[in-house]
Amino acid sequence: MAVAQHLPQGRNQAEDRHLNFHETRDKLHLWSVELFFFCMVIHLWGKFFMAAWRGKRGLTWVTGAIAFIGSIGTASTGYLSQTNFDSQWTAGQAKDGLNAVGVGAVFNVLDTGQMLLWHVMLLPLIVGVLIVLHVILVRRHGVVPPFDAEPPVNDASSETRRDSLGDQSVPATPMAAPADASLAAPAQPGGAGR
Amino acid sequence: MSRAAGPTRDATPDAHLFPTRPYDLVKEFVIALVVMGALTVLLVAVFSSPDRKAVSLRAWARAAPSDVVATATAELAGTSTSATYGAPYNTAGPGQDLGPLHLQRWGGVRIPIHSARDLVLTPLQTVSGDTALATALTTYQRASTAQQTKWASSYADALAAVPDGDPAKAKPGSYGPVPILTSRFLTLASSGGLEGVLTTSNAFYGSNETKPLLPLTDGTYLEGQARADHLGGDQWGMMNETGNYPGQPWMWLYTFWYQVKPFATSGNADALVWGLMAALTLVLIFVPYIPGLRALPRHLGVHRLIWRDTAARRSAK
Repeated sequence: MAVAQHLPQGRNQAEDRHLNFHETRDKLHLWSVELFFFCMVIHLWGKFFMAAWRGKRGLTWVTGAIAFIGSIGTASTGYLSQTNFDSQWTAGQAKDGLNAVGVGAVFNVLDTGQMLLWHVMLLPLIVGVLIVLHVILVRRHGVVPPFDAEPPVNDASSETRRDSLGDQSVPATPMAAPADASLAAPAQPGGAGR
Repeated sequence: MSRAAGPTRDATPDAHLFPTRPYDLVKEFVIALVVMGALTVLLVAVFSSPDRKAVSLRAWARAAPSDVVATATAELAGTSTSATYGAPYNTAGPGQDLGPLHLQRWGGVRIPIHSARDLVLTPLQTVSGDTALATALTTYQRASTAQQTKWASSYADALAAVPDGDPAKAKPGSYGPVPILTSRFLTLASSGGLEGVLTTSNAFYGSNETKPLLPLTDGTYLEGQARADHLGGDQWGMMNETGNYPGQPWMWLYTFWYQVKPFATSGNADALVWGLMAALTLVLIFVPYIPGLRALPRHLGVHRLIWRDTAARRSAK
């Protein structure tokens, strides 16, 4: 009885728990998205300053960049799907930007149902596929070596790598991350990277 | 051979030629997931998050009745933002251009909306038991388009001439049935019935908010509320959030262009900024293949900080 007196008029305890669940989920959603972009921006700038596209890794960069752009689209459609004041204002502003270049004719930001579909299904699917491709490419080519790094002349120093999935020791494979490569051989002048 | 090719050739050695060390990818993933999850919960506990309720048309009518009447009058006069928009809603405006490209117009009228008919008159036609309204609707619809526009424009001018746009203070004039139509529109909005008429009048399931959002954005109330929450276009609003919460800071470059000339003062700002950002996005995606730009990181030297151990050992040698 004492608890009921603290509930807003017209809401019972079950409704209150339901609302609390949704509010908590929304808060977790917001901050996880903020952290996601914080980490992605650091990753993006880090890879730029490393010129991580060197050594035939151009496609790795391209897939990562498109996935980043796709994640921005996913976030934006999320703002349009909140069904709150933010959604109303964002939709009103975004429509002008998209209509100005003809996109709004087929991508209607005022259509909440359409935006929700893009947010929860279509864009995550596209971004997910790109991320899988991106990770496969990183695993295929390995991490980019530092500028002017040269591999050791004698490669006998290669260690073995323990595979966490099977807890086994396996020979170093193309999936392995390079160690401190610059000590392996003296750096040479010239254009190792572009 | 590779040296002879010079700096234009990518001579980065294969990563697989270097020594390797143990690396547990699953372990790293689990640690990252746990740390990020804990950090998220911590941020929620400390800062919570905003969730400002949507402005209903009823709330709009009760908070700013004069704005509702002025907006309905503008829809009837054909002078509201949506009535003069152009594609994709109608052909009343030329739309924005990107240089010689008329992209907005080329997009076509794919979401046809006649502001007066769809946003004002059709909702009013659903009201029953109001003889004065029925008569006003009949009178309005039997008049010529020129007469309709004249009535509505005159009433819009009269509203603009009085303090706060209060319809009760408007001077008498030849407004035809427009004052009755707009006052009943206000009544309908105040009752909470307008949203339903605009969203589900033609469908049982309503998930498209285009029609209720257009009059709301045509009015000044929503914008006033947004500007008070620093969400205006010239307030870097695209990257802001209601209250003092982070919004979409990753949109900083997109909203930056709206703050500077020529974009800030251009009638084609949306198209120009969109075009510029599309070009910059392509540059970002294809950095690896753009001569000069792809060599920039080597000269910036930030890589010495990233590979600081390598740089230190190289210096020591």
